[in-house]
Amino acid sequence: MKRLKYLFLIIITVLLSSCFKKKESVTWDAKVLTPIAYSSLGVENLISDTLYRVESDSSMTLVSHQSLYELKIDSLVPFDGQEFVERVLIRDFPITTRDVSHNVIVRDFVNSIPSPFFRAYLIASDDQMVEVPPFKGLSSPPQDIVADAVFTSADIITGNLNTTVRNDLSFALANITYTVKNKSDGSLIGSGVIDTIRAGETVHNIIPLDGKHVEGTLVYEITNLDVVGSNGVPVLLDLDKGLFVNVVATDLKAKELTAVFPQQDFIQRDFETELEGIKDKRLTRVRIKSGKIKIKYYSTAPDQVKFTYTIPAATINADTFKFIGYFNRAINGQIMIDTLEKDISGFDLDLNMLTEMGGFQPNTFRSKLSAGFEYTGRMVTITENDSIRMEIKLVDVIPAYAKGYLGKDTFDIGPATANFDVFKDLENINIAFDEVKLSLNITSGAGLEAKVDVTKIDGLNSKTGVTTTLSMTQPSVSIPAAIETPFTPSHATHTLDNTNSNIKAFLDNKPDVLTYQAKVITNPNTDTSIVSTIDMNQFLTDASSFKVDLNVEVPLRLNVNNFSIMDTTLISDFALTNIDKIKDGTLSLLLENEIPIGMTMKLIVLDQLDIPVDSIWSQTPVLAADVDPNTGKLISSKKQRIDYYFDNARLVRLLTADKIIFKAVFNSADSKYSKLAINNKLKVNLVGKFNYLVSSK
Amino acid sequence: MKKYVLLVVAAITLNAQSTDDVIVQEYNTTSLYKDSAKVLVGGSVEWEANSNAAVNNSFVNTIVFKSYIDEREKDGVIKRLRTLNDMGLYGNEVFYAKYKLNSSVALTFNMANTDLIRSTFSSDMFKLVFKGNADFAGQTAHLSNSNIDYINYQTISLGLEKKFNRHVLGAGLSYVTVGQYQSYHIDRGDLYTATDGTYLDFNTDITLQSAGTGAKSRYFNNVGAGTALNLSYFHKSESGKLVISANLTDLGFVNINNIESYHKDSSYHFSGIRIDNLFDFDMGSFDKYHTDSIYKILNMNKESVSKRQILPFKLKVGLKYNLSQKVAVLYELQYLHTDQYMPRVTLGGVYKVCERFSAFAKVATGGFGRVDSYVGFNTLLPLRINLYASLNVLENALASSKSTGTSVNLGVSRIF
Repeated sequence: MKRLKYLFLIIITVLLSSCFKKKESVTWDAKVLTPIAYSSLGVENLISDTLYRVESDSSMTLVSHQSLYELKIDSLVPFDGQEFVERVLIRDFPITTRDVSHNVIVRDFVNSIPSPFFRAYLIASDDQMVEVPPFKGLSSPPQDIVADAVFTSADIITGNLNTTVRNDLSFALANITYTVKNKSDGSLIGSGVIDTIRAGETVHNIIPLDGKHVEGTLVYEITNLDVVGSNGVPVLLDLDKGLFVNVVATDLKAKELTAVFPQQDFIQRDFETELEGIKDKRLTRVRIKSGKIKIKYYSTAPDQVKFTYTIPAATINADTFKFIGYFNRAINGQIMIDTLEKDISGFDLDLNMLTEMGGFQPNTFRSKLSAGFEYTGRMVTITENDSIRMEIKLVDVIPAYAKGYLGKDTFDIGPATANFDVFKDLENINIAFDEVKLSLNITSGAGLEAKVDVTKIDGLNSKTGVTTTLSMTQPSVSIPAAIETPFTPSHATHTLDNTNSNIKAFLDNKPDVLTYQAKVITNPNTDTSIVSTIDMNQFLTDASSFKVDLNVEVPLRLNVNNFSIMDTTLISDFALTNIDKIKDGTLSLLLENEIPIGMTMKLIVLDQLDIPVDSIWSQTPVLAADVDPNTGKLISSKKQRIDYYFDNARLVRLLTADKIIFKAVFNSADSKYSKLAINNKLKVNLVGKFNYLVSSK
Repeated sequence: MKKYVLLVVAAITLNAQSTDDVIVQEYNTTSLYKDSAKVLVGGSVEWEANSNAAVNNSFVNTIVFKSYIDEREKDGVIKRLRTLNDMGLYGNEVFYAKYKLNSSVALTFNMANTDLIRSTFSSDMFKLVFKGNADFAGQTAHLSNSNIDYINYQTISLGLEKKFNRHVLGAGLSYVTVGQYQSYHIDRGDLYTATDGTYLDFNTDITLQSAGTGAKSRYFNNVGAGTALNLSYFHKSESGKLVISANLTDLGFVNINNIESYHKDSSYHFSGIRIDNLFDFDMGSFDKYHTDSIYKILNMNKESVSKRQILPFKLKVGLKYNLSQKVAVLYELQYLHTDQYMPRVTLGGVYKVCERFSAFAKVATGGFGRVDSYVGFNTLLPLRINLYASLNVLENALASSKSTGTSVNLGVSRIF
C-alpha cells in the first residue's frame, strides 16, 4: 500500500511536470515608439532635374535646352569632279611590233666568190689570224626572216621597218645592198644600202612601209657586199660570223594588224579637272572623308589594256593617288563595257593648281592617264575601227576638311517641329515669366561668317490647341568665323526678353510643340566680284558643325492651384511578420513644410476591387512656409501632425490591402508667385507608436 | 497548494543542486559505512533564483507560472529598481551512487546537469524591455553595464571515498561537456528616442556571444569540454553531537569552441526607411529591414571565437551540533564562483519530531539575494529510503511582491 502511495506521488508529479512544459513563453506589452519611414518632397520631385538649374543662392531657374538645327560639314560642300571622257582609235596610235633578228654569216657568201683559189684560202683560214684582202661583188642567197611569231600580216597605213645591221667581223664591209620581200609572193617590201660598216659597227636603216602589205615571213637578201679587207694586218677570220640583222616594224598604223604586241602605251594624256557642284566656292584644299574615282570604259581592243590613272595633287602619307587597272579584252569583236572604282578616302587633294601662267587656279587639279597593251604573248588582230572610250570622274566626295573660300549659300532650317518639354510637369502650375529669357544660341565650328534669319517660331499648346507666334524686333543673328588653330568654335547669342519680343505671352501659352523656320546664310557680306577681298582662308572640318539651340531660362516663381501628385503603390505582395503582435497604436505622419506652398495629403487604402477600405488625410492643410520673397530662402517652416489610430483589426486591414494611393494637393497661399529654393522641402516622417506584445520566446 | 506543487515541479524541471546539506550527508555517510550496507543510490535537485532587490517573487512567479506580465507586475519591480540590479539562477540535478569496496573504501559515481544564469541590468534596461521605449520619448535610456551570462553543462564523475576512523575523505574527477553558452554584454549603451519618435540614436559598445543555441536541446551539445575536481569531507564526533561536512564541486574549467561572436562599438542613427520619392516608392524597400539583416545593417560582422572559462564551482561547508536528543543547531557557509554571488551564511535549528522525522528552519544571508528563510524536513522511509526537502517559499507565499528569492532543494537516497 505504501509503495502504491509513492508510485501515485511520482505519477502526479510527472503529469504536472508535463502540464508545466506546455507553457512555452511569457508575454507582455511594450509601448514602442519608432520611426518607420521618412521622405522629403522638394521641387525636384515636381520637376525633372533636367529642367532646372540651381543658382548659387539656392534659388532655382527653370531651364530648357532645345536643339533646333545642326548642320554638318558634309552638308556644306559635297562635290564631284568634272568628268572627262577619252576615246581613242587604237589605229591612231603608232604601234610597235616585236623585233626579229637574223645572222648573215661569211660562210653564206663563200659560194658567191668567183675565184676557187680565194674560196679555198678563206675556208682554209677559218678561225685563223690571216690577212684578208679586199674584193667586191659578194652576195648571199635569200634568207627567211620568220616573224610570224610576231605578226602574220598587216596592211600598213603608215609605218617603218627599222633594220639594224651590226658587223660582227674583224674587218670592214662596204656597198651593202639588201632587199626585204614578202616570201609568199616575192613582193618587195623595201631595200636599203649601207655604204660602209666597220668592224663591230652598227648601222640603222629605215624602210618605209606606207601602203604596203607585210607578212609574217620575209625574205632578206643581200644582193651586193664588198670586202674592204684588213689592210695587210692579220685578223681573226671566223666564217660563222658575219652581219647581225635585226628587223622591227615601228610606228605602225595599220588597217588591220595581226601581231603579238609588246608592252606599249598608246594613250598618255594629262587632264585638268575642275570640281563640280560647288557653286561659287573657291576651294584650295580638301581632305577627302569619302569619295571615289569612277572609270567607265568601252573597249573593242582584242587584248587586255592596262591603264594607270594618277592624281599627283592627291596624296596620303607622301603617297600619290594612283589607280591602276585593266580593261578586259573584247571577244569576237563584242564591245566590252565595265565600270571600275577606286576609293580616294583619306587623301589630301590640293585644289590650288599652278597654271602655266604661273598663277594658281582653285577648284582644279591635274591628273594623268596612260593606257596600253601589256605583253601577253597572244597574237591578236587590231582593226582600224578598234577603240577604247573612258569616262573618268571623281564622284561622291564628302570632305573631312575643306579650305578656301567656302561660298555664299543659303540653307533652310525647317519648317520643322520639336517637342518643347519645359512645361511637361507643370500643367497646373502657374509660372511668373516676368524675368524670362529666351535665347537663340548659335555655335559655329565653321571658319566662315554666317547669319541666321529666324523666319518663324510658333508655340502650340497641344492640350488647348492654342498657338502663339513668337515675334521679335530683330530676327537676324550674325555669327563670326571659328578660329582654326587652335580650333575654337564661335558663338553668338540672340536673347529675347520682354523688351524685344512677346516672350511672356508666348510662354504663358505653355507651348509643348514648337514649329520653327529659319535660314542660314554663309558669307553674307562677301562680294565675290572683287577677288582680292575674298577670304581664301576659310575652313571646315568634319568636326565643324553649325548648331542653333533654343534656350529658355525662367527664375522659378510659382503659383499653384490644386496641383496634385498621385501615385498608386501595390502592397499586396508586402508581407509583414508579427502583425498580430501589434495590438493597437497610432501611426503619425509628421509633416514639416519648408515650401512656400500649402498642401494636403491623403492616403487611400484599396482592396483588390479598388474599393477604398480606409484612408488617412490631413484634416487641415499644411500651411505654406514663410520664405524670403527675393531669394526663396526659408524663414520659418510650418508643421502638422496627422495621427492614425488603429487597433489590430484596422492595422491588418491596412497592411493586407491591395493598393495604397498617395495623393498630395498643393495650393499657393494666395495669388502671389513664390520663389523656390532647392533646399526647401516638405519633410515627411512616419512614426509608429503602438502596443507590441513581446514574447519571451 | 497547487501553486507550490508546481513550484516543486518547476524546480525539478529547471534543474537543481545536489543535496549536499549536512543533514543528508550525515544520513548517507553513516548509513553507507554500516556493515549491512553495500550500495548507496540517490538523486537530488536544487533550484535557486534570486535577486539583490528588484525582481520580486511575484514577478518571477508570473514568468514561471503565468503567460502574461501585466503592468502591475512590471511596476512592482520598477519601483524597487536600483541603478544596476543583479539577478541569478542556479540549478543543479544529480544522480549519484556509491559502491562500498570494503568497510572503509567506496567507489563513487556522479552524473549532474548544471545551469547558471547571471544577469546585471540597469533600471532603464528593465523598463525598455518590459515597458518599451515610448516612455523614453525625449530621453535617453541608459543601458550601460547590462549583461547576461548563461552556461549549461553536464558532468560525469568517478571517485573514491575513504573512511579514516571518524573522518571520511572523498575525491573525484569529472569530465565536463558544455551544452549551451550565451553572453550578452552592453558595456556602453545609450538609446535616445526623439520626442516625436522621428529618430532613434543608439550609442553602444556591445558584445553578443552564443554557442549551442541552435540545438533543440541544451543537453550534451558538446560545444565545449573540460575537466573538474570534486572533493568531500565528512566528520562525526564520537559523541555524535558534532557533524561536519564539506563539499567542493566542479573545480575546473571548460574550453568553449565555435562561439558566434558579434561586437560593435559605434553609434547608430535610425530615422526609418528612407523613401527617395514619396510618390513613387517600392514597398520592397522594407525588405532590407527584415530581422535577418539587422546584424548587417548594424555592420556587426560575425566572428567565430573560442574561450576558456572557469566553471562556477561551489564550496559548501555545513556544521550540525546536537544540543539534545531532540534539538540541534545548524551552520552553513556556501560560496558559488560567479559574479554577483555573495558568500551565503545560513543559521538554523533542527527539531527531531520522532525517530524517523526531523524538521528544520534556517535563515540565510548572501547568495544572489539578501536575506532568505528556509524550512524543511528529513524523513527516513521504509526500504531505507531517506527523503530530504529544504524550501525557500514562505516569503513567496506570504508576500510575493515584497520578497525576492525562491529555492527548492530536494534529495532522495536509498541504502542497499
